[in-house]
Amino acid sequence: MDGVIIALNNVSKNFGRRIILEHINLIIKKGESIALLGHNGSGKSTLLRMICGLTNMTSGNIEYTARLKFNYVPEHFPKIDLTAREFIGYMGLIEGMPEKMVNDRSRELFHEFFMDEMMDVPIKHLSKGTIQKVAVIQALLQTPDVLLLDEPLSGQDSQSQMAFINLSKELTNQGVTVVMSCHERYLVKQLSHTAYEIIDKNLMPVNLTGLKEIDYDFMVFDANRDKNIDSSIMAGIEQLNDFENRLELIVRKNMSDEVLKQMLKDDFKLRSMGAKEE
Amino acid sequence: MKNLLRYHIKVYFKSNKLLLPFLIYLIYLCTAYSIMPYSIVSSFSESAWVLFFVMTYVGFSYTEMENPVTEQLVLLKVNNDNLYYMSRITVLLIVGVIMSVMGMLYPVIFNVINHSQLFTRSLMLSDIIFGLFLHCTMGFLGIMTGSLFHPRIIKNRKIAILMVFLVAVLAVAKGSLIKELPLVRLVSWVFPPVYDILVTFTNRDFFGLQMMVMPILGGIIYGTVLMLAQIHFLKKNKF
Repeated sequence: MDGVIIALNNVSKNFGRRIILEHINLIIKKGESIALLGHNGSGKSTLLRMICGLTNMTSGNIEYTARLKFNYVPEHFPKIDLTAREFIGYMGLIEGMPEKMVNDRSRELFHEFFMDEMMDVPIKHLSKGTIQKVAVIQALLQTPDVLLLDEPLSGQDSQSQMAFINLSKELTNQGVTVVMSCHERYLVKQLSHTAYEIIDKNLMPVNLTGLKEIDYDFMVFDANRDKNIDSSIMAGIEQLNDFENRLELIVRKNMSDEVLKQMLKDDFKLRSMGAKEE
Repeated sequence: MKNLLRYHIKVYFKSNKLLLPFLIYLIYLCTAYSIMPYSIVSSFSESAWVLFFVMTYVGFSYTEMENPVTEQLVLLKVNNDNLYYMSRITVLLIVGVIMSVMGMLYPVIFNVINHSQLFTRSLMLSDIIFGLFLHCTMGFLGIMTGSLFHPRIIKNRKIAILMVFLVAVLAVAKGSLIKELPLVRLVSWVFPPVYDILVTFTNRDFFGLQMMVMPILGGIIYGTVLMLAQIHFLKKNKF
């Protein structure tokens, strides 16, 4: 088929007796942007790692039309002792980039992700969202053939999410294939051409036009460490970003009133709100 | 490879994981050489098997320190699994050589300070060379033994700790065990040939090339087999 670079044929994965993925068939074309949806533990990360060969499959096969360069953004980047600058620097050098290019490119990316002030802080001392930015930056140092992203936007503030979305679009325009797992459904249509959902160990196509019909509101509250969000409104919250001194909520528009009322009733102080921009 | 090594070394040294085994070996050297005079061959042999234990710990703790997420990222950047695993082993080998040099330098310097009274006879260049070879071989065996019990090879870490301890002890004690239970000989070859190397030097006053070649060669071959097995299992048991 035209432009196909990876083909997964009847791929299955078991961990011990537990079946994670069963008979997965997926065609990935050059320059395509694919989103993988599914609940936690559904096998999205495993599938991503199988695509780049970091996880062995139990059965089936994966065909590659050429030797591809993969870059990967893991969901949880660890708290390591190296500083962001050191880690990114080594990753660039290991990738084979000349030192000057590594320095220039990393400085550019640190700036783009609002990390200029944090380059020399050990990664273990950075916040969750900033650590995730380091994970993204290491993958964007050099243009890969395929970029695999495991929940790249979780825990990041809206500005960084937008910076990432723009970079990701730029990459797909350059012909980079992007495959990502993502639970922010409202972002899927901005990031991907095609989406699949893992349901009962199988891959099901998702109608992206259906996703477009959902509108979202954006609410920011002061963080209140002594209070938990009421479970009755969790269904309406698409995404929750817990930053040091504020809580950002992305809420389904049809549930906004209910969520807002409950949050105010629970003594959370509203700082700002509005319609979620796309 | 150069950048990969620089990265591993930076991560390793920042973790401070090497400090404890380094201090343990240093304390051992200080204690062992506090008694004079001492036979050169037996003191170097003893120091070498202590180094085997220390390096087994170093190899084991190094694999424990490895973060699976950064490991995946680096593996993709390198795009060559063999090169990646060899680079990690090389870091351990560098540590092994440094510790071996330390194990030889300490008695040499201490002997000079004590006006050549540390040993029962005068120390010769050949003693230092053979001693260094012996230490390096034991270090290599220790590294390969410890690092074989990688979290991706033995997932249950409690069992891994027990196994590595048992293997390290049996590597040294298998000789005494064979004397008590001769049938043990049938399976004793499975364990690192630490005893088999050390027994060559029992009641010897001098090291000799002829007597060292075969045991040292055996040790190197055994260590290389463990190394290849480790790489094979790591490639088989991915993330």
